[in-house]
Amino acid sequence: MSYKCMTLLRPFGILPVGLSHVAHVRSFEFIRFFLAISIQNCRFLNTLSQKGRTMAHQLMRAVPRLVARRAFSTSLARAGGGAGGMPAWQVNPRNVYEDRPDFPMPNVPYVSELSDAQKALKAKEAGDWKSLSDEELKELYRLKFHKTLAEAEAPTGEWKTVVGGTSLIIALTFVLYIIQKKYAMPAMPETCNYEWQEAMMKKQLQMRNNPVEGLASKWDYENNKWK
Amino acid sequence: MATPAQLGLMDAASPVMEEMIYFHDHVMLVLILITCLIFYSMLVLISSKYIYRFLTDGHVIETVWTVIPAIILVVVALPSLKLLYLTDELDSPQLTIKGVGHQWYWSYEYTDYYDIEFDSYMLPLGDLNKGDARLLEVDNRVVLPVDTSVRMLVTAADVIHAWTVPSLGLKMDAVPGRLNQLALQCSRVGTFYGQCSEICGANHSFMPIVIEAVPVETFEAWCDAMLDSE
Repeated sequence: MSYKCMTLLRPFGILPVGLSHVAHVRSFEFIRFFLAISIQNCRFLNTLSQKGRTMAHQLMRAVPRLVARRAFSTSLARAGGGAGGMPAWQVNPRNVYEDRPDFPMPNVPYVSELSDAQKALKAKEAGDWKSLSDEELKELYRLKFHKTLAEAEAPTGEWKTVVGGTSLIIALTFVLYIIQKKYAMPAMPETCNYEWQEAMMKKQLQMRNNPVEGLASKWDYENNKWK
Repeated sequence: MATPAQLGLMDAASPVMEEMIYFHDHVMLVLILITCLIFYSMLVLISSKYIYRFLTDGHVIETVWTVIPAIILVVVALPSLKLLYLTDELDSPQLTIKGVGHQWYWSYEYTDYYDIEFDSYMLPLGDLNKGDARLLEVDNRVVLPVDTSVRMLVTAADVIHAWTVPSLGLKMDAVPGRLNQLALQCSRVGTFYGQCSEICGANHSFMPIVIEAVPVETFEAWCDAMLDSE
């Protein structure tokens, strides 16, 4: 099969020819090898797509690279990334800078386009580190990272905004309720006034309402008072 | 009846309601245990600073938290089913009463020995005496002898109603064209209130039920008085 067919099938992780060079590999490593190819393909094609070229053009450019790197040797495939030939799993495979306390080493530096002064500092970094001042070290750190770990983990105080806003809205509903009660709602029936409630309770005590654990159980009937 | 700001169930006035209260306490205990466990887990997880980055599966814990809830459900279901069948048991009733739901009142018929029939309308606010319960008092109450097994047959004349008395643990739909049977037994003397529990129109909230459990002699005297008045 031609190399062009191979590259067309690469996105699907299928390598239809060249199996003879992996014939000595055990079946488990065989599967991992294909997975490694697939993951590397996805990353490779992603990089190509970012350049905004047509698929055919990308494939034409990709052929020599594919032939050179992957088509013949398993040892080259094993050389990339984590244990056993598989690339290390990444939470952020798209090479975007992110401050995450649980993944403290991002793939890319924070500042990627350096000014002249910054380039000079980077060149100085290539030399003896003892010659770098404290300010220069901090500058270099800030080129690589946006926040320190302490800054990334620091509390934001957002809870105060949330609690304050919620309390404000609840207070507003209380105000609205008071206005409605005063001006819109009809009067309560006479059964809600104190004298009626008192008479109702006397009647409930007379008819032994809830005598086990409720109202009547709290009344001392012999002495006519609450227990 | 319930007292103001009451949250729990009313005291039982029948053996079945007593069993329902015990079952409620049993299930509430299970629920509180589960809720406490969940809250504790949430607190521990939220306050923990550690993150396990390579967590992919947890077969053992998933098996555990499937089997344990199944056991809990069995522990809840067994008494539940026992109670369910207990409510259906009717032990040689000595009296049969028919309750018919209308829009918007109840009518009752005691036709075992004599023909006693009457309607039970809610008392409007203007007709209440001081201390009466608004929306609960009726003009003619259902009078029953205490400690007597009673069969209650519930039906309706127009739309579906529901005959309910929470203190006795009773609720049954009153369906037109159908007779539904309830086993009723009051363990103590008293007055027990209920309200219609199936939406039946504009005055659905204004057709209450009142049961007055009285000693047998009082019941007999009441029957005589009802016959005389008719």
